[in-house]
Amino acid sequence: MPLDFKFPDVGEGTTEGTLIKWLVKEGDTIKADQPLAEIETDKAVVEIPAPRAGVILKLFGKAGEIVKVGSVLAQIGDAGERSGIGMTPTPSPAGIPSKPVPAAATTPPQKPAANPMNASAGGVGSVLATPSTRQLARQLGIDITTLKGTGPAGRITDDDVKRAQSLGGNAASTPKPTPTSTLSSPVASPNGMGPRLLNVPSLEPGKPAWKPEGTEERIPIKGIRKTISDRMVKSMFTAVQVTHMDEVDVTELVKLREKKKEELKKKGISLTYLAFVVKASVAALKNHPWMNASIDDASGEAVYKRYYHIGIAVDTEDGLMVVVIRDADKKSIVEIAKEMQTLAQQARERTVAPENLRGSTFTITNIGSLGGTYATPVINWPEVGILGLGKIAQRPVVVEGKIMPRHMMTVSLTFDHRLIDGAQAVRFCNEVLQHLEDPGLFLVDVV
Amino acid sequence: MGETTEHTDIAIIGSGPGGYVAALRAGKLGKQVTLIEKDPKGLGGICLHHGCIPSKSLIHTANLFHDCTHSQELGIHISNATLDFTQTQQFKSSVIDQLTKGIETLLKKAGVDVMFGTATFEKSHQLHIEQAHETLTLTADNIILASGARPMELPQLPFNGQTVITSKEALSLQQIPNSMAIVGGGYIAVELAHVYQKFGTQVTMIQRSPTILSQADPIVSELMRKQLEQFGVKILTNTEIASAAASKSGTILSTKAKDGTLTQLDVEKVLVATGRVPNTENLGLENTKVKLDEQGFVAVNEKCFTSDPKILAIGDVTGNPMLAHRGFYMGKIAAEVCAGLPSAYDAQVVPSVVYSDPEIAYVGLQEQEALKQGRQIITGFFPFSANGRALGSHRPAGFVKLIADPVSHVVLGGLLVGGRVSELISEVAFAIETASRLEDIAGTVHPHPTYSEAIAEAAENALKKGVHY
Repeated sequence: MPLDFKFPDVGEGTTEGTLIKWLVKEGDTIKADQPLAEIETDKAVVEIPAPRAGVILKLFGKAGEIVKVGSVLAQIGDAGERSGIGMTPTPSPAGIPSKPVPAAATTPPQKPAANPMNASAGGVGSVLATPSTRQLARQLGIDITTLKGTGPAGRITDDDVKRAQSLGGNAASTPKPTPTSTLSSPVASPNGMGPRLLNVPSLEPGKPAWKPEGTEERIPIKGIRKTISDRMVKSMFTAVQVTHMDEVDVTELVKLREKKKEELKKKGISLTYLAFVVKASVAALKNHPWMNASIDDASGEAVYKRYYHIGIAVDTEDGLMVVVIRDADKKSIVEIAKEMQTLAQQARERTVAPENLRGSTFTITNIGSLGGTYATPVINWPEVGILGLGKIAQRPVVVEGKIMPRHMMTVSLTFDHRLIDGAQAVRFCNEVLQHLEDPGLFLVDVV
Repeated sequence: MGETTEHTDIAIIGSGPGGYVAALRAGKLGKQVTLIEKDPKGLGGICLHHGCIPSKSLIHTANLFHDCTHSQELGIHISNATLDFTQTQQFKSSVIDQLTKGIETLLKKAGVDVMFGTATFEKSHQLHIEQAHETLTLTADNIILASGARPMELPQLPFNGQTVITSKEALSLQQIPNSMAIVGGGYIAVELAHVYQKFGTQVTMIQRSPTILSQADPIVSELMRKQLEQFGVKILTNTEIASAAASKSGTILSTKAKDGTLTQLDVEKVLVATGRVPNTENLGLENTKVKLDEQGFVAVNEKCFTSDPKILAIGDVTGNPMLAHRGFYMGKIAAEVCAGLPSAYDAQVVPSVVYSDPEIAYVGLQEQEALKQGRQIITGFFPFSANGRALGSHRPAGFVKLIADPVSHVVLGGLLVGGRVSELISEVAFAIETASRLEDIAGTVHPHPTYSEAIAEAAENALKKGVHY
């Protein structure tokens, strides 16, 4: 009996991936755990291992195609066995199920079609949404039948569909790379004839929302870019983000790091300032639990986390990724530095394990490594705080009445004002800065 | 001349409502489209040439003729109303010609290549096309099958085009027959029974099941039966055709009722309208992966794709309800899907209309069906006998019935009988598609005096807020 091997769930929240390439071909004899394919998920490129030894009877999908979690990737049998076509859905770009919806009048179809009597039996009331909203859902790749409407009588509104998409969507169908038109807000017309839409771009799908004024290139937003885009939207439209900015004298920290740097370098470890900031932040988070928290919007509760998984933003070729130092409170600065080095490298190579890409409770982003002083970092939702680090540079500072050259670092702390007030945020920030300004006591035994 | 091969983005087989609309939409989306029609004069398909359009022309004429002689109450006394049936048919043909030319122009404007010939599949993406004077191999990225359906033939009553006919011939008779037997009781049978009875033919309907219009609500079947009998139509239900033999004047039909009653009928014309079967033969479908369902229709999914990834199918060939407006709808979806747009068949309902007198129109969930499902509903009712416009127009028969959810008041269905209900049903369909509630309909100002007020009144009636009923 051939085995239909389905694309497994490779990480939290992953619903689909792009097939990069097959590592085997039909007819190949394979060993258990032998990699079958490389698939790029929204988080990483993963190799999918074979569930058992056998012979590849059939492979489904071509390089570049989107594969859904749970869809059949390969049929694996024993030598001499033949592929059982027909019992296996053949994924195709058009999404044709192997058993098309019967059009017979006698069997009420699941999907709307066929006889009006049947359509009413199976269809009416099953999707409470207008045709235009249903179209929007298809454009955004949202299975509207899974949504709950917030409109009158449970009607599903455009906003419900957009919200579902910003939450990462559902795995219903593949969004086509067609541009999505957006409606501007309805504006009441001066003639009192009811609302009119102003500046409405073309609603026709497939047509650009604007007229090109020159050569343009259209590239589908997918993979990591899509994830970043969705998460940014979710964050900005959920958390009330306020950024507090300050600077800190890190002259002592610079000296400390200089002392240890060479010694660690010999061991292959690059001691970064970031590792110190992680440790300083964790220490402050322990005293300011509201910064290591989330808001559970569904239950209306604030969730204070007693674990300290620190997210570190990593700039990769494909886009921003956040690697996670788990249980940073239990690790030394050297350990943290070492782990960050490994994870950042893996992120750039797209080999980082899914568990190192999720579950962070507070995030740090080193915006200063490229330049700039201050920024307004966007919270890595559902967290409630993100600390952005500026460049460390020597600046003239007044110390005990004299202008002295000191190593200064700027920080920008964005916090969710729904949960945290300004004073609380500043208190937290102050503690982080104190640790960095006077690392002696705080760090002496952890380095 | 040797065999030539051409390539197109989309090839469409059949130029009926599904096919030509798919061609127009795809053409306007920038696709190269070839539309193949086997009848050189048949652009527009059965609907335009032998169905919807000619029947509506004849129905209009029949109603007008009937009204001329049945309007004494209004002070109209016409003693010698005569019908020049040749003129009637000419008018009908002129309407068809005008619409055919319109489609031709539209197709030209959309850049669609129209080819008259017979297409057969050689492969999933390859057609062999026999035109009048040459043959051609046409390959396409996608092929849309819109080959339609044809009248079902009864073994004991083979069609001969003269005395035993289909609706196609019935719509182009050159003389009004003295007598006509109509076998079947669906909407085509009912509409043509009206037409010819009103033109003066003695019509006898012979129906195997216990009611006519058995797909509609029983209340409607009963009402229609009474109405037809009032016009003079004889209706034999629970009756089968035992045998048929040619006679001097036409055909002698021997019928047998369920209770054993035997009847003999000598009629000039026998119209067989017992249903339609899909055109799936002689298309070379065996050379593709297209699969048929248990009833012989081409099975499709919500994107109108068949089980062959290159081939889509739309309209009557894909099953019930075999209605032009479903073909139009599917044609647009298929074209958009071929153009890579995220379209799908997600209409909640498809309205049904019978152009009888009074007209019948229904959409969505019906009372009888809700009962069967054990689903709780509320209904709202309003008779046209309480509607000013209907009374003034001498069309007091009929009613509007709305079916809604008892909790949310979301409109689920409607059943309308009356003078203009073919035009009214879209309001109910719109309410269903937009998940509107009874309050939404009741809260929409309907102009007075109109038939449409009956819909708002029925909504208020369901909410127990009616003022006129």
